[in-house]
Amino acid sequence: MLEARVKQAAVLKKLLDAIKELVTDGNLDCTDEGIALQAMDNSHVALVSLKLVAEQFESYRCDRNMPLGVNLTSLTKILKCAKDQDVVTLKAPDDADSLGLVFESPKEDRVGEYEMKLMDIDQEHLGIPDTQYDATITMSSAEFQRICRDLAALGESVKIEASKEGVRFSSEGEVGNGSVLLKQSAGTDRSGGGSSSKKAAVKRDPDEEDEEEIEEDEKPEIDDEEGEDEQDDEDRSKKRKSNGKAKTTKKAKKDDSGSDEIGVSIILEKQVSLTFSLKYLTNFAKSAPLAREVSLHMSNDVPLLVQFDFEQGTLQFFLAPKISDE
Amino acid sequence: MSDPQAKNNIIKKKKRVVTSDDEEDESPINGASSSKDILSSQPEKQTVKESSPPHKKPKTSSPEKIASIFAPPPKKVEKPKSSNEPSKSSSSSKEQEKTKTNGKESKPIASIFAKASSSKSKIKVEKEDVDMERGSPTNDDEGEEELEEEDEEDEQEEAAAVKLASIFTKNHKSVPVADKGWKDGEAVPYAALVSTFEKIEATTKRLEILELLTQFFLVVAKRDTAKQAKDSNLLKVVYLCINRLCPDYMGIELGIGETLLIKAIAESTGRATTKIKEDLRKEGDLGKVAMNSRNTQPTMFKPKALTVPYVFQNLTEIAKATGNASQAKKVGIIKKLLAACQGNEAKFIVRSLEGKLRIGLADKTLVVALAHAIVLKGMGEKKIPHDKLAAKLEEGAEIVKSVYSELPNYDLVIPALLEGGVEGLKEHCKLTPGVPLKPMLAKPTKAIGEVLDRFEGKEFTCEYKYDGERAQVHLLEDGSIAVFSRNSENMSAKYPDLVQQVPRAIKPSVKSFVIDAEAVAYDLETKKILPFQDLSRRKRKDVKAEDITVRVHLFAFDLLYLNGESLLTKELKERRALLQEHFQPVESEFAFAKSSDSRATEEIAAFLEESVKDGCEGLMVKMLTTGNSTYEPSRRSMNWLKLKKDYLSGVGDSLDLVVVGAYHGKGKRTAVYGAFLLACYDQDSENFQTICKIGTGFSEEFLSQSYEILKPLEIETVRGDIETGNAKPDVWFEPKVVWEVLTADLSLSPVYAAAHGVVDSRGISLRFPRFIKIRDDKSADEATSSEQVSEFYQRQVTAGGGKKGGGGEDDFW
Repeated sequence: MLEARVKQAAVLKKLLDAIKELVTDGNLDCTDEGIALQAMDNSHVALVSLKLVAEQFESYRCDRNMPLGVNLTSLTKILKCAKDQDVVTLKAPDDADSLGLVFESPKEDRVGEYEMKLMDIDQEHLGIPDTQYDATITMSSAEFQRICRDLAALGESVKIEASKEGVRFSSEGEVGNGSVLLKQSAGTDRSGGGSSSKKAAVKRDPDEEDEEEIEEDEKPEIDDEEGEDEQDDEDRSKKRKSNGKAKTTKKAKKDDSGSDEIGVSIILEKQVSLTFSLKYLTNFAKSAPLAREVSLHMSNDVPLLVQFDFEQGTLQFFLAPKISDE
Repeated sequence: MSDPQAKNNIIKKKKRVVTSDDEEDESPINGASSSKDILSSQPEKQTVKESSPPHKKPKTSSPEKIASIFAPPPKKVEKPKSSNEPSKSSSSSKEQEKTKTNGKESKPIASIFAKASSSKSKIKVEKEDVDMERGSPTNDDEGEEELEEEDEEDEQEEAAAVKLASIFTKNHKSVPVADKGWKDGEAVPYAALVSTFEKIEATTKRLEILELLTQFFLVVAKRDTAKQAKDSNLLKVVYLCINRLCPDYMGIELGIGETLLIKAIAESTGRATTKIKEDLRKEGDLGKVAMNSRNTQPTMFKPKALTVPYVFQNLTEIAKATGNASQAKKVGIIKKLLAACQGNEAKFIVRSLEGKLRIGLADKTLVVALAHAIVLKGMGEKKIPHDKLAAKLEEGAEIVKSVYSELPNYDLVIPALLEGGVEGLKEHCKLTPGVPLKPMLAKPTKAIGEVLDRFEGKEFTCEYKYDGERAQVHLLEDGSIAVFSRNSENMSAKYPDLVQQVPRAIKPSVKSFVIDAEAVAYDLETKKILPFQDLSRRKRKDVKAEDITVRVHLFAFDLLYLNGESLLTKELKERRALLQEHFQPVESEFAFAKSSDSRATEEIAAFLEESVKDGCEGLMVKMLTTGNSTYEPSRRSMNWLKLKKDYLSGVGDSLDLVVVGAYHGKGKRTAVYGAFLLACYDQDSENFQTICKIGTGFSEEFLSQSYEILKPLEIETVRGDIETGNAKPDVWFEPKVVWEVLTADLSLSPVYAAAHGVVDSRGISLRFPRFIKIRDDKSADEATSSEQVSEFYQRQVTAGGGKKGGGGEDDFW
């Protein structure tokens, strides 16, 4: 049987808000390690993978692995009945045909009990290959959401280019075109955020130094990207310039807003440029309320990974890149 | 958790746009011929013929080629395709080039994280083996053209039976047993059905289609282990072949709007809707567009291969989706299906959704193929001499055809066939009240003389041919009454008043029946029949008996079933006697069709005259006795002749009309205009008023010619001096070209503007307009005037005693 207590209904609500647009039905795979959900959208273009870690529940018990087939729209409806601060308990006996949800108010003076019918979903587990990404960008999730929303007003797809210069989001459509360039913000907010951002921050340090101080060190890297010599030189000089600028503005900012500001960090093995459907990205960005930071992982011709790390676990979205139409 | 192959592939996942080079290049049929079409704007048929060897194997893409970013490369890792393969589809010339090389394998479906689906490729290969073994015997000497005459078709079928028999006796062993695409009791892969569709589409020969379909049905039937109708694979295959989901009368239909489909395609392929619309204009077939579109947005894991039951189930879900958010739900399901499509599956999924399969498969051919497949299945491994087999096949076809025409419901017929074969079918499946049968049809004749030639020395009768809607009224054993249209649609909801009226005409001796009748609009005050168009003005749905203003009068003329017994094989004389014995006329509600049994030419002429005066369309002349007077469902038989006023010489007015608009052609007529909007000229207002749409009677040559002439006349927006009514052509022209057009007659129409306000607030339109010639000698303002049009109409009304109307139903009756 399963019994899992979640401290705040709000977390579940936010999770569902982000996922339900993409996926209608899915199996909640409950194991002793936690609850996972993996599903693709109808067009098989995007994949959602959610992991709620057992340790992060207020209490968690699952004796036997079981998939709970849920209709996410129905689950959302039921969760609406809970107040944001309520403690939610998910209950299901073995071979359950329904999932029990108990909502208790923090003062324990109100208890709501609901049951939701489960369904049989024939879904194979999809093995997502472990990928070493060429570019990892960590940024504020609110900023990510904003960029997606802004660019969606212009066109249907966005090109994301990660280079030493920073990361550029650009889109074009009938109205015109636009782009947003986010520059690497060194030294901001290294302590905030979840575990992944910490990692990123640690990794980032040597990289930065390479760039700014020991320029020779960059060369081997360039050799890896064969046949970009001249252009690359140019790029490099530009990069240097922008880096300088970035640094100054950054510092100014840092002084203003203190450690609350979430900077942009870029770990770059190789330049990456990919195009994605904005419709999907906008959907992913709806998860922004879950975590202050989002990380985008990219390699050429490999699905984009958009990851939100939050207290209870991680939410990952994969999105297949578009092949250019023209 | 992750598949090791996939992992290892991450490194080399170039945008593997499917290797187009190997093995596909020799196939002339599929992609190649269709893309040629676009280039030459030639009718597809021709292209196919030219390039058609007696037998063709449309190659469908073999799925190993479906690229996927994380999946193992299809053998050819070294392929040097640049990762930024430019422009997949959109730009026109490039695209055509591409379709040639690329198109055959239909489109690179790059599926990221895909898993190799090995089972599917097997099917294809094996299927092809099968036809290599058996396809060749078909020659091109027969079936070159579609023959319309029944008798000739029968001969063809006979020939088909003989030919099939020879095929199956010759290399009986190697026949479809070799095909191992799926196992007994398993779901039929959709790819297998699609490859059959492709082959059928690639030929215009009826015999070849029949043979292909028979082979496929045979394989399906052999492996169909379902005990229950709802699980039967064969049943679903048959439904998908005729693009239905259930018997007609149950009313679950596909036919998703173009806009919705475009939206779904756009969303699932990541392309802009404008691009898809552009392609659609070029291709004229959304199916092909969908097939070729699938390339800008790769998928993640490839969904499981489609199976026939899965497709059927999802199509049904789409058809049944109603109410709030049903659009979104439909789009969702369509996307799901499209995402799972491989090769050219998308083409047929989309066509199925549109409601037209466009593979040139006649329902009749399907029935015969089904019969043949069941006979062959029943034979098993037995060896039977060639001529005996031929006879058996033919006999089987006859049985199934006749049973199906009595009981057009595959839900009942197919399970019975699978269980008891052809032999027991007649006992199991009989005419049943509640299941509408296809009505018997009549042949048109041009003169009374012709009628007499046919019926010389025989007993026959003439009946009024009422100008209404054919109605088949059923009384079920449980006392409920159902009314069905000529097309077997359930019209009980449209005619709640009929359902109330009928019981008053039934005598107590009747427990169940099926009558064939004509429902006619009726004026209670004048006790006169009203024109057909008054009937068609009634609402079609949710009609409440008390709201009805247009009364319906039923004129019964045949009795097909009475108290548990089918009367189809009885002589008309006997059926008519039973009808009159068990039913009674009710004033202003129910009557028997007025008839006269006289033989003299003058009397028939007088009767015809009288019928027209009484507001009828003419006469039906029917054989009264002998074996030729049985009721033959769905047959257009020489034993029923219609003598219509229209068909008599001297009727039909020719008009000179201006071409003011056109509709883009589809299918064969892609790249030219498929239909035109015509207008007459109103001298008073100096405006052109739309009068009808014309789309028939054109040769291919003429269509391309007129495209040349009219294209330069295209204008951005409709000119101010054209009164459009509600007509919405795809393009407008400067009014310049004048055509002479013949029409059966005129009717009032809410769509067209001609002479509106003169006779009625509605405009006047032409029924069955036929193009005669181009009037080079006339300028646009010399076209037939609105005044003349309204005169024509007035004259017709007075001549016909107020009859005549819109709608196209009675072309058949």
